[in-house]
Amino acid sequence: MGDWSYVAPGYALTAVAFAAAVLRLHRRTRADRAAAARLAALRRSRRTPPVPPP
Amino acid sequence: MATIARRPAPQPRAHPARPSGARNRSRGARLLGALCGSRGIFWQGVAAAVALGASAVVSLLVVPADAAQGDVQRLMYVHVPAAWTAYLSFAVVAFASAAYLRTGRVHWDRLAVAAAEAGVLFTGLTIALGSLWGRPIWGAWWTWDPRLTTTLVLLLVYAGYLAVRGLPDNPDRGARWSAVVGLVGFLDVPVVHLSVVWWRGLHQPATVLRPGTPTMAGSMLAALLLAVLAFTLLWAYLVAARMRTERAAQRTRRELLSAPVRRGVQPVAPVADLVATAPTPQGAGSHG
Repeated sequence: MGDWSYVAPGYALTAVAFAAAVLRLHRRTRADRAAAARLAALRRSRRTPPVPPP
Repeated sequence: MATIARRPAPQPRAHPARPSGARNRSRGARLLGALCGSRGIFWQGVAAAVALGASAVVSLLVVPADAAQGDVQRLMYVHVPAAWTAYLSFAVVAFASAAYLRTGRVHWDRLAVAAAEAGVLFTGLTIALGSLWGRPIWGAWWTWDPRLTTTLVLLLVYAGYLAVRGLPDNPDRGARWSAVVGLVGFLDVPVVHLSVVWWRGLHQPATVLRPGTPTMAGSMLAALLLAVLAFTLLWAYLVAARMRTERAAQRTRRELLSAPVRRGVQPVAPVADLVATAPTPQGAGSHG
């Protein structure tokens, strides 16, 4: 049985770093999509002509 | 007698919705476009996950332990690929920065910033894994060895690259400044690689990227090359996905700059924050 006390933390650190990078990208993608959607909604609301009063 | 009018032969005409060069893209540009599309990014992620899993199994369970160092040497299968991928990142940053300074095309800037972020991640990982490997072999978490010191300088240079982007108010100016940093910073990469040859230190010299045949057993070399492939696939996935988010952010920022959504709001904050502070019309968005 070899010494895994440095190997295991090394591989765990690698896995955590990769997972954090991928998660951060996914969060950023979701935030950008939401921002674009809100901007598009704002633009649409500006183009809508005012409703005449009854 | 009725005469049959002959219809004129259809003439090829330019597609009005597309730029003139879009139809005549080279095979390389189409391949790059496919890789950076949503489906391409998804499959790159799947390929990277499969390759990383296979590499972990091979390097932890299949390849024999080193005769001198024992199982600690298995850290090589994550430390060395991380370092190689960091080199790759900074080579791409330098190339894309030079192309951006020359042409001014914004997609080169996107590629440069995506590769720089990946490079900072992999360089930090290289230093952390090297520290974990150095503790049992050298008896120290850190020494001011030439290889370690120049690698730390590399990390700081590219962290500075990312910081410089945000300094000026004008994003174009930030992109130009950081492109200069990306070009100059690449000069440190050959210094890092050759530091073990130029100066005497604790770090061992190169065993694969050296003149002559690699001084490593065949099974270990195969496992190392598999790990390099897996890390490179993950790098490609991260860069492509980051380029996509940067493209979306730049598009939203451009629209905000062209038509401010709220009086008094200066578009210097992150795009998502800016839009979040804008007034929401009734019926639009989840909170409307």
